[in-house]
Amino acid sequence: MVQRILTAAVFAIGLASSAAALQPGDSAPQRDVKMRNVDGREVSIADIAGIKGTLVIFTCNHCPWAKAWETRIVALGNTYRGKGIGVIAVNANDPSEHAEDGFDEMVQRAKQRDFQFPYVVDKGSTVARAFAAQRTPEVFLFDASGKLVYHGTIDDNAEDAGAVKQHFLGDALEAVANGQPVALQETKALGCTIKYYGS
Amino acid sequence: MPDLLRLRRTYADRGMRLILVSGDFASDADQAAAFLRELGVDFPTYRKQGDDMEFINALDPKWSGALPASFIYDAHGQLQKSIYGKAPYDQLNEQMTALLEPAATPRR
Repeated sequence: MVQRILTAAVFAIGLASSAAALQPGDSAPQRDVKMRNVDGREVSIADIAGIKGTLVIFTCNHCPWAKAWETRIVALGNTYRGKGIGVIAVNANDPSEHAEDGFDEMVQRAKQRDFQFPYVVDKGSTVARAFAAQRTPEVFLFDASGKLVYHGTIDDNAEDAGAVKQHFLGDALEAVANGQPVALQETKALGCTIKYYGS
Repeated sequence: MPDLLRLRRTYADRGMRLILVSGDFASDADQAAAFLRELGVDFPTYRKQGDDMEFINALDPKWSGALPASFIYDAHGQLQKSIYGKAPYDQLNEQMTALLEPAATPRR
């Protein structure tokens, strides 16, 4: 009885703030949550999951780092979508903080950049909180069996695509597309805090 | 930013040093400098160079790299507190009071 009460208390605390960070091997949380795509349809992570793997990208319109990496994110997403990896870009930012993160702006951005994968609104930041996502952009790559194999950033140079030495996400995607283990599973970079709804 | 500058005004002569580090891109450095001047920043500030991950982990290995972030180090250079996201003045003030006058506020 005491053990059950303790577990319930710990769970309740977890709900109020972000969940604990995802570890390698974890499955995507909240994968059935429907989110509004720029084409007006409701899409979940489960809906887009690919045979070879699934890439979830937390991003937004306004953040300078998201903007700097945007064409690279889209290029990778569009390429690997065609290689059996399901791709979804998630905007968990409350647009009352930055109007540029609004839905109409997302529609325009997706069109302008030729997103060939969903760009969805995580209303209430529900999915971002479950992922304990901290930053835009921040990516989570799951393998064919739905296990997390890469978490972090796109590459080692936000500002200058031409000066990139380590293509972290590109390498991870190539490995997953070929059913290979990912060598470097966790990276970090500067970015903008996610503007959680209700914070 | 105004809260950080206010904190500096309150505590600079009690041994607090404020180090502002911009994560802005090199191409935005002039804009960043102009912004700081507008705020009345008249002390040296810094812009991050080099590798992001090294920088992030040097400041706080638990930090995701999301900006803004504030890190409070004590007189021995030990990280005492990290504040991810905006740092409200009250929270900063509380940390400073605790760090600068430990003898005056005994903990129970």
